Amino acid sequence: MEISKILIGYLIYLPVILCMTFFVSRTLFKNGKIFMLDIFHGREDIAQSTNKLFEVGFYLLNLGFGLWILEISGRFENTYQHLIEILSSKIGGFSIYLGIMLFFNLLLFFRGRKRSKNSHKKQIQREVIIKRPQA
Amino acid sequence: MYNLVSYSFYFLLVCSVILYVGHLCYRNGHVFIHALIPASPDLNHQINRLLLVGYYLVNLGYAIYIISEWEQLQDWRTAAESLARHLSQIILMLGLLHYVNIAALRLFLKPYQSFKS
Repeated sequence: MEISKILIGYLIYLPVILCMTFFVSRTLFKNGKIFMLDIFHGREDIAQSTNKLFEVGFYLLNLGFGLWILEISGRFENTYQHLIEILSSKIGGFSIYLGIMLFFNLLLFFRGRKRSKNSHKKQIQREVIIKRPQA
Repeated sequence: MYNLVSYSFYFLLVCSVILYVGHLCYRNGHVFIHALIPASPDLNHQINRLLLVGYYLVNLGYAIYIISEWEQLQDWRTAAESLARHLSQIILMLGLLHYVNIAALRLFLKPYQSFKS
């Protein structure tokens, strides 16, 4: 009986992490598009590509981590109570991890935005400095 | 029998993941190669194709090699666990490599960073 309960646990766990990853990445990258347009100064094609690449990376990392922690190892008491406790620890842990990854990606977006703004400003200053002697 | 079932599941899933990711990178990487070498679109196309083929060779080769070192399985539980472990290894590695690639692209693109419209 032990095996079938653990398999039930796996069958519950897998769809949950798939759905969570899907919804988080959908919300993140629907809004990430705006950041990317800002970072690349409105160049549509390169913004879209970068957004897509980051989305693929996000999916790969999170689904990989979710599968990595799937295994129920150690002592299993063969009761539904213990199964629910284990599942809640796994799903809760994965959810916290997902939140941290979300903030990490947001941090990347904000840093890129700041840096591109700075470089844009520097470039404008440089152009002004170059143009001044001619004027 | 458990081994055979998990091999077939593993092979299908890994192949679809690798092919899908390669296709996405091929389609979206075009823009970056174009930003690096803006002069000749023909050369860009060839470089992109070569990169795609190299990616497929390395990743599919590694994925197939892992099958040869699979442990003996006794029941469905160990089958599911080992399947998840091997899949997660490959997917995590792909993800990490992907982020490293994005960082490398940033480094390469730094001298060309005037993405002005």
